[in-house]
Amino acid sequence: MSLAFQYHEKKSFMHRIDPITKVVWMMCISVLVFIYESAIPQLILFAVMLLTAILLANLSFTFVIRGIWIMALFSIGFFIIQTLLVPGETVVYSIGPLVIHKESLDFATAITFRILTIFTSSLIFVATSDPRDIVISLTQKLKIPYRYAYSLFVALRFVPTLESEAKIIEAAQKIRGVGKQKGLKNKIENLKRFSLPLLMGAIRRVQVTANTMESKGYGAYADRTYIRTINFSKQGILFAGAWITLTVCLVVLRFI
Amino acid sequence: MEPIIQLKNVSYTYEDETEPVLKNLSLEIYKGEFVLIVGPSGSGKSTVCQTFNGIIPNVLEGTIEGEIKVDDKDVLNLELKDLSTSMGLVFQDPDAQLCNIYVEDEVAFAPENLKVHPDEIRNRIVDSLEKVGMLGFEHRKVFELSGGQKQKVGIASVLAMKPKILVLDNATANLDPQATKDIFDLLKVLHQDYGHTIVVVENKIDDLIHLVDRLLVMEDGSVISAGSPQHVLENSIDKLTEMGLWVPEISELCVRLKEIGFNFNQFPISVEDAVAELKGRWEVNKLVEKPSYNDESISDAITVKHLTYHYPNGTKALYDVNFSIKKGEFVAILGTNGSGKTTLVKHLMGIISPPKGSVFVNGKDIHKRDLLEMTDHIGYVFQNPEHQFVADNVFEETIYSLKVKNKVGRGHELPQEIIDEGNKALNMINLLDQKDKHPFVLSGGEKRRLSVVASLILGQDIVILDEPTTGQDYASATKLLELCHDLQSQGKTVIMITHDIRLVCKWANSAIVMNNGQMIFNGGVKELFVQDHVLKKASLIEPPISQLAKALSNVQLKQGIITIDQFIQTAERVKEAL
Amino acid sequence: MGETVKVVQSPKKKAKANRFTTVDIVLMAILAIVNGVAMTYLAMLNQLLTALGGPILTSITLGLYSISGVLAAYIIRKPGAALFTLTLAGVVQILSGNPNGLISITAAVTDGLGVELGFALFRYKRWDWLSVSVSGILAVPVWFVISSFWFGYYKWGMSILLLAFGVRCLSGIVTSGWLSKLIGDILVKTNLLKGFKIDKDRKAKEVK
Ligand SMILES: Nc1ncnc2c1ncn2[C@@H]1O[C@H](COP(=O)(O)OP(=O)(O)OP(=O)(O)O)[C@@H](O)[C@H]1O
Ligand SMILES: Nc1ncnc2c1ncn2[C@@H]1O[C@H](COP(=O)(O)OP(=O)(O)OP(=O)(O)O)[C@@H](O)[C@H]1O
Ligand SMILES: [Mg+2]
Ligand SMILES: [Mg+2]
Repeated sequence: MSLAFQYHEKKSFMHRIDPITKVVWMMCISVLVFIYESAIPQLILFAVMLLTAILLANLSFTFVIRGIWIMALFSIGFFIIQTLLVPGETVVYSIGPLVIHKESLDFATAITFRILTIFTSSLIFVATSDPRDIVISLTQKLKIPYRYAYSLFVALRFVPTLESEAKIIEAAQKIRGVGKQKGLKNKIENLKRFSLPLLMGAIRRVQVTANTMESKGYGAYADRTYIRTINFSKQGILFAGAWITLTVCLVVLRFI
Repeated sequence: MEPIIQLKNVSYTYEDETEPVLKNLSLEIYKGEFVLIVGPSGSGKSTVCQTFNGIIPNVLEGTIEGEIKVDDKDVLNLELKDLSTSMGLVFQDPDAQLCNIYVEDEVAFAPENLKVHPDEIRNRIVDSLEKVGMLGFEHRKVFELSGGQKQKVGIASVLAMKPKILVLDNATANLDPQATKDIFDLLKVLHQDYGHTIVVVENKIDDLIHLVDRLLVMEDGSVISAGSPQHVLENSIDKLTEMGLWVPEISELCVRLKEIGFNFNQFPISVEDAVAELKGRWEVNKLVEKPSYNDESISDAITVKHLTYHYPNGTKALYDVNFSIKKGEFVAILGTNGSGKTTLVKHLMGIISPPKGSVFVNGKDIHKRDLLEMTDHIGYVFQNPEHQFVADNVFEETIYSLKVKNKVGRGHELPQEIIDEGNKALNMINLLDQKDKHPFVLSGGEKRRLSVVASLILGQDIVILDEPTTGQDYASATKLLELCHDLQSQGKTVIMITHDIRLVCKWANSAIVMNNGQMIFNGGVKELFVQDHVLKKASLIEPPISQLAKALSNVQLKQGIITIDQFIQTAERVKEAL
Repeated sequence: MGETVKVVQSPKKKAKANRFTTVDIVLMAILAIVNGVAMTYLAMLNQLLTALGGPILTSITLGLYSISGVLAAYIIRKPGAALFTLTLAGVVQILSGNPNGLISITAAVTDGLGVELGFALFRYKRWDWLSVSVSGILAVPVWFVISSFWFGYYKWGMSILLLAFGVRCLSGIVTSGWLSKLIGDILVKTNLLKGFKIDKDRKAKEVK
């Protein structure tokens, strides 16, 4: 899987909403998944996420599935372990020494879908938010000094460069015979052989990049101007407001 | 006239170092001038460029003395932000100097930092991109651009600060000849039409020298000569060559011609100059043309038949390629960026597994052969030597493949033969006395040579090199080619991808030219340069000497004249014409 | 003639010694991603892990997630380097559509705080095996508690939890702490880190 950012330029309700509002929305979701430990509410939340992805974010079902399938695989293993390890009372099924309890099944389902829901909401956020807008909201709305916020651009900018470099190093070393030797010690050596050139190539650029940035006035003033601006929209405020209200109500209901 | 850049007795020592890098250096650059700085690696060219805009001493600290004035500002007593609008600096590595994701943001980056009003920035984006010919690329991602396009964006991004001075430090080193020429043409326009003052540091100056007003030569931290390019080249070309610098081929020729009694009104530095001077005094039509050496009895090292390849994403990278390479040949593979050169040699090595019946090495089909097994037959040298380094010191690096092959594990004692073999190889490249150093601390040229011998330690009889001379000065490029030549005279087959036409002409016997995945030429190097349609199609830039020979000849040449020696030889027959 | 000798080490700069310079910021950005890139390409690593096998597998490599933070701190040697690098790494992970959204950013931040605390205990003055071990280990506990609630581990029973915790601490020391020091020491020898505090400290030591 590539580390390059997964923003998909499209038009949709979620695309139009600014990143901060979406973060608020994500936080609501996190709170909600956290207060329930049984399957039904978690399944409902997950369904809501899927609908949001398809209806509000204009993402195709296949895109969502492709985005979460690794996580889904992971969850299956997780589900099994949870089912077996979490204690319970009502026996549903048993094979030999393995006993499956209703409570553990319920709990495992809940936790598994908790993970999938969080993951889908994050996928929606990522696919609908231009990284530029994220950085700009950090500085314009959250008042984080742009010198620091900008590091996110630098990081994202160099991901593809490093990835192609990593590919080349892998091939170059294979040709030298790396990988022919067996044994744990050699495997560890190989890790070093791979990581060092990658790291050195990257660090060699650091000084040049920093100098270029400085000579282009980076950090010259405490603030700067922007050719893009971020505005909270009415739609966004309504959307976030609705979610906050819903979350507060459900939390109150749950703990009364 | 007032100088726009003025350095007076500047000495500078990097922080924590003892030796000064700039020593009592003085120089002046005038408004509207186009100045070229040359000098051997490590002579302080980059250091001096960074004093112009205050990176030194504001960011890179250290001890500095003397006086630096740029655009009437006292560099040593001002902050970086007061200086950055006077000049823009473009560096060698296009990847390192672009820190934004989108082209538009990259160009807007500097003015945004300098708090220019957004409306004004919008105008500047259009302006700067238009100047460099990249209008319409605003919303493209930086990392998807080609190297040449990246450098143009780099230039646009400094133009957006509206600087009076533009400084390019080795900015074309990683580009193919066509992209390099595009950048030089752009500089010409910026200089002549927009009146920018331009300072360029460059290695390969054949296509640039005739554009510049003044040439400065640096050695060991000071400027040792300065003047018009004609003047400097005429008087100190030997010195420049001795310092290991690239000099224009035409000037090299003219110095030789002077030795055999020619006089020039004005010392030629470009093909046009030389044509003007030599027209009517030198004829190239009496050359006896020998066919290229071609012995049918020698068997093929590599044969390629009907090779076609698409990358998984659908890119058509090779289309019906057919050729064979004889044992002991020195073959250059030429073509523009993206024409399929690397893809082709990856098939020869088996990094990409070729289909059945398409690639034969020493007569055997390599279809489905294991990559590790192929390393017994072919040594493959990647473009960046560091990528291939696997050991902690130079000696271990050299013998690594031998150890793997003979299964000498950790803790085993090294057999004497392996030690001898390693020492012999290191001796050949003069690195024996540095055998305990970490490979990463060697100089660029040394790293490169080490990677060649380390790749060939198994005694493979075919070696493939992917762009081995990029960005090196003349001295270290020549050393590397001498090494390849030695290998060739030991009977090995050398296959080299390169953009360096002058080196090809001097060292290679034959050439394969790729264009859009198709092979459009396969034959002797001399024949290549008389095939104008091939040159044009593959945007190969002819070596100056060949251009000159063509211009001076009134018959259609059957073979190009591609080295200075060949050119001079035509003189044996025209001495009487002097 | 210009006889001005300027030794650039103005008092203003000295006062700012603990502020991040642009080079620091760029280095942290690079370190924040290099780890992730390496991990995605390290098929070798996976082989190694499968060889070791078992369900404790995830715990064994856990230290690797905080290595970029320890390394950044070890090179830059200023307060905040570890926290900043790890937070950034977390954000990049999210944007690449990779792990679990707010979960991973929380993990990144808690790891960062732990490492930061480790070096702070030594008042950012000690940079040796001990301080990197402490920092490596401190990346573990907070996230361990949070994650056992997130993922519902807390229902597993004490002995399993303690075992997992032990493995994670060990992993923190070795694959995060020690490994960072090893890498940092190799890098500084190759002269790539000129200008960073780690290089200055090394030179100062050599003079002694
Ligand atoms: N940041 C630095 N700290 C210490 N020494 C440095 C630094 N940068 C460069 N040097 C040293 O200063 C000297 C001059 O380097 P500089 O980069 O200016 O040379 P150059 O003429 O540009 O060489 P090249 O043609 O290889 O680019 C070299 O010996 C180099 O090792
Ligand atoms: N891994 C890949 N996946 C998809 N397409 C690729 C891949 N590598 C190269 N290509 C494409 O295949 C074509 C040939 O590329 P190749 O690298 O062989 O060119 P080249 O002649 O070596 O260029 P250069 O001078 O830039 O090294 C190009 O269009 C390139 O974009
Ligand atoms: Mg330089
Ligand atoms: Mg190539």
